[in-house]
Amino acid sequence: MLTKLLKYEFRDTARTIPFLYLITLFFAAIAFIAGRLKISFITATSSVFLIIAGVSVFIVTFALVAIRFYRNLYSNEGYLMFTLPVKPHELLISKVIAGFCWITASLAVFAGALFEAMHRLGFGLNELAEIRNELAKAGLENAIYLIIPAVLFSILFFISQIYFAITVANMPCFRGIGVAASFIAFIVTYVALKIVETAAAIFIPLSVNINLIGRKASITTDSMFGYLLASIQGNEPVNITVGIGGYLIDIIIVCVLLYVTGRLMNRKVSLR
Amino acid sequence: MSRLIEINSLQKRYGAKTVLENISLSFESGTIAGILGPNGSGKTSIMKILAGIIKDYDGEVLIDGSAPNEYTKSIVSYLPEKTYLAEGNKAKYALDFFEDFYTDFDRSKAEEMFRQFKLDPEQKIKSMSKGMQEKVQLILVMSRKTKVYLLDEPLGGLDPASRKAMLDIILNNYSEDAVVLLSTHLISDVERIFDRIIMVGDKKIIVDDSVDNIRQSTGKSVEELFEEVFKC
Repeated sequence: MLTKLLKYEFRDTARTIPFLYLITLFFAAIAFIAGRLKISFITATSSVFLIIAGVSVFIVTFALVAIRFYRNLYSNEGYLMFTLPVKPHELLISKVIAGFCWITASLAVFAGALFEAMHRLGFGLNELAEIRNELAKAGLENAIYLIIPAVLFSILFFISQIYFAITVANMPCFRGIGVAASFIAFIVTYVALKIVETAAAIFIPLSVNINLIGRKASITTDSMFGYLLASIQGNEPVNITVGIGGYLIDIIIVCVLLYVTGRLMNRKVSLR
Repeated sequence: MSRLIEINSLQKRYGAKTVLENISLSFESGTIAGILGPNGSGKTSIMKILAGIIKDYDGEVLIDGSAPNEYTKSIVSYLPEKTYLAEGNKAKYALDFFEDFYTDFDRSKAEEMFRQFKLDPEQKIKSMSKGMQEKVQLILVMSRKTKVYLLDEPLGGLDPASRKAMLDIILNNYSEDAVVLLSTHLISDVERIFDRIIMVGDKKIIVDDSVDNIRQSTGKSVEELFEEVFKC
């Protein structure tokens, strides 16, 4: 049944989101053609529009994914979805997978648009190579490969928070607040999780230790707390310690958020 | 005849307000029952609980021996009082959807009813009138050959001709060994199809009897009895 849910999830969302990609593609084509024809004014203008379109695609996709989740489950359409003979968690999983795929695709479009626009505006591959060299000098050349999983995980983390907030807002006790309940629930969740994440980054004894003199980075079991304390006391540490325990906590948080969302959907949420 | 629905000591509250208190009912296969009551009497709540939409209730609810779950949803065909089809989709999309998710859905029967009621599967839901949307939903629900049909106000907002058409859809398409629960205000239109009447009011069951018994024992029609029981 999950496959069928996914099929309809993608079928429904595919009518709006790819349209945004076409708009971005349109500006990219103009920037490309104008660049080839060396019409600098149009190249610059279309490049700026391309960046705006890329940013918009990313933001609008997030909004559409959230609206789709609310409308499909907690508006009248929920009467159909919640009476389907599917396992309760399959509804949530299908929405997480579809949302994740669309936001990732939109992020790729955004990155492509940004790269193309920057290229047209004179920021080329050389500058990117320089950034890579700087990272290599700091012993962090492999860190670049961590960016992609970190970004993908951030998307999942954000989707989990959105779905959790919308679900909480649709519990009978919060219904009186209306649409604002989802925003309030999201802000409260976001702030609370940021506090937990920061505390975990500082206190969990897992960090990246960057030696500024030897330009070497290594993973250690030191906590970031000692480094911060030394900095506050005015000592100038030779090494920078960046706590990464927050990422471990984030993994647990995503699992907890999705589990609780599923439980609430199954037991607490009743449609109006 | 087997007992398909069993409700024991059911209670439902919305905040501090209790709408159903200590309700016990059972329905055997081959029954068409009308759930009648004034606004806010809990008719829709009973339907929603049986459909698995409302989960926070007290008491025991069993459908074919199971509390509302994935299995019961596969044997319950539920028509809510609201339009649950996505407005941006065509009616054909709804046919595809039901065909994919319900193994007991008879697509050819649904298409035949679409033709009978001059409904165009290619028409978008949002461009249909309220009556057409309700017909589409009822056709979808009644095209399933299942054990339980829950029809919540299927006649609300329809003109008399459409009401008759809707009743024909119900009568001509339900499975003989199924339980059909139908809630409505429009008693005179549907009285003829009921085997049993349940009147809900003041949080409890006020009347639970067969239509024949009601007529014989009170000398009144169901509508007359309803007016007497719930007179303001």
